[in-house]
Amino acid sequence: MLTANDRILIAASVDGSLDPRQHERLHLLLKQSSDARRLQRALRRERSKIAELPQHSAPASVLPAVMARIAEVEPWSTLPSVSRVPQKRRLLPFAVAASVAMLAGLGVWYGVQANQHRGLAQAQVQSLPHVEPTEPMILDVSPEVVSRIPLFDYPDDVVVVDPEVAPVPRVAPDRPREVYGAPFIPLPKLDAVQVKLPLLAEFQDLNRDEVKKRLTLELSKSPTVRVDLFSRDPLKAAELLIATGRATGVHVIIDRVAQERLRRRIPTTWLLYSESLTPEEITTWLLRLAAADAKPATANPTQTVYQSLHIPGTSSHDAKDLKDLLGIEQRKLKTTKANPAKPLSDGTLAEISSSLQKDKSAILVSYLPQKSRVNPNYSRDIKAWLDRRGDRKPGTVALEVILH
Amino acid sequence: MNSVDRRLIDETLSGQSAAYGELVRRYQDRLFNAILRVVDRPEDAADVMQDAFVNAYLNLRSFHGDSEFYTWLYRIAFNAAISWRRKQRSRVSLQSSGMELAEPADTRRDSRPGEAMERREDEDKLEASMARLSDDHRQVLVLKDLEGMKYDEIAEILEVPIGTVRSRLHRARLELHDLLTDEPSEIHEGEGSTLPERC
Repeated sequence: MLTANDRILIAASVDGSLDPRQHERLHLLLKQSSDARRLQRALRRERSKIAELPQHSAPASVLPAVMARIAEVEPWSTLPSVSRVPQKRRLLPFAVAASVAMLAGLGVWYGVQANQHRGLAQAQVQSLPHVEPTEPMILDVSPEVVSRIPLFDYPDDVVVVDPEVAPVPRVAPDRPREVYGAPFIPLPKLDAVQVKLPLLAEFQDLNRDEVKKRLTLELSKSPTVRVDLFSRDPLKAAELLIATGRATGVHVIIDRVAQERLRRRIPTTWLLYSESLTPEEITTWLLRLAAADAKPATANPTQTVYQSLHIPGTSSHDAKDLKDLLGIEQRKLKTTKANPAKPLSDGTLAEISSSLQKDKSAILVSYLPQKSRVNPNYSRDIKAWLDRRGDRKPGTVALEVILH
Repeated sequence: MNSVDRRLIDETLSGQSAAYGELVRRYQDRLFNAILRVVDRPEDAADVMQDAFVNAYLNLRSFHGDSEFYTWLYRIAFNAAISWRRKQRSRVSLQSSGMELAEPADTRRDSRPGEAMERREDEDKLEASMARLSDDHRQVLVLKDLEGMKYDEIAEILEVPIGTVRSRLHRARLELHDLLTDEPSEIHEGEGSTLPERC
């Protein structure tokens, strides 16, 4: 029968925690006792079994949930530093002592200065010459004396000048002076310049024919289009956008973090990106969106989710955003390599048609706050969208919708 | 601290939250397995792990790189897990929990029919026995055998001397052996050991 000490000794041997003396004891014990040998074998076997226990993967929801939660906290710059709080507390007595010492120093300095001033004043008074006091002067202000004081000094004599003897200088008559200026250059004829104004429209005006035409025209002007949608509630607006997109036949892929933010109702500015829609299809989507938005609010227009639409044109910032958010280069948009001047062989035609986008798809990701952004390399949904991306069909535009 | 972790932490502190996402991705599976053996239920382990990652993010400025990032992270997670366990005190086995765990990939080949089933039964028995261990013994076994950590790392995480880690580990092995063989445990904390604690 093994004692408690023997058992501990054997357990320690399994982890190699014995010194030479204990090792010798163990060796003797193992030689004498079959129970000891059996226990050592069992403990080693159990250690191996623990190490071989099946490894489980963390649930897929952990990463998006953590990212969503840290996106809710304030940015680093405004967060209080945890390590600095105790440091401040440690410095508090020193700060108080320093303040007291400074006040004491100021008091001493003020006292010394005051004494010096007092001494200087006394020295100045003492250095003044001694003057005997005299009788005070009394002014005579009787009416008689005051009335004799002349008010003005008049000249005693007037001198008359003879013009013959001393002629008066003549004053030149006034003449118009010469004015100098730039030589007259005839102005060139001015031409009328047409200024390109970005489209800004009320969302509920999209049903009007002229706005609809203008919208399609604006969407057709450039191969890359940015549309800003302003809403009263970006969460409801995103849901409506997704629903109407799907109703229009667009496969809208939502990034996992965006899904989590939608589910948790976290205020977010969204970005929707697509390369597989023509301007007409985008117009149809937006009109359907406007109609769906207006439906429950026909009685009260202020209850609509969407407010206005703005097409400002794209800039280098948009290209950077797309690179950051989706990992794509806007300037290097994939286009079909077919040359219309050359006839296509059957193989080339088949290759091109197979590489073209197979369906209309769009990806929705969170745009702002900055911390909610996802690295595209780590998002399965963005990768899934990139896999479906394919080459662009003719007539499609790169659409970037920012939903505020 | 390894250079990848250092870079990711620096990027996180400079405001790039995606870098923190990479840190989470690097350690989430490892941490999940460790926490799962402490709190038993997968959904609890996921919750504890989320809290741990968020707390680590909030306190990232106070991490000066004196130890490995995962050691620091484990300490936060283990403290959260122990607090959780003390609150719950509900020892529900893995099999009875609501969350479905994905079946881990098994690369071992079975030499005879039924061996896989027997092995699965052994694993279930081992996990059930580990769940019955005291908190101190369970933690030290998970960190040593499952995580393969060194004594000094375990000591840092559990905030105890290395000698205590050793003695706890020896007792934990014996307690687990007794549970597996249905024998009454003869070793209790603080008694029966004459081995000096080597630090």
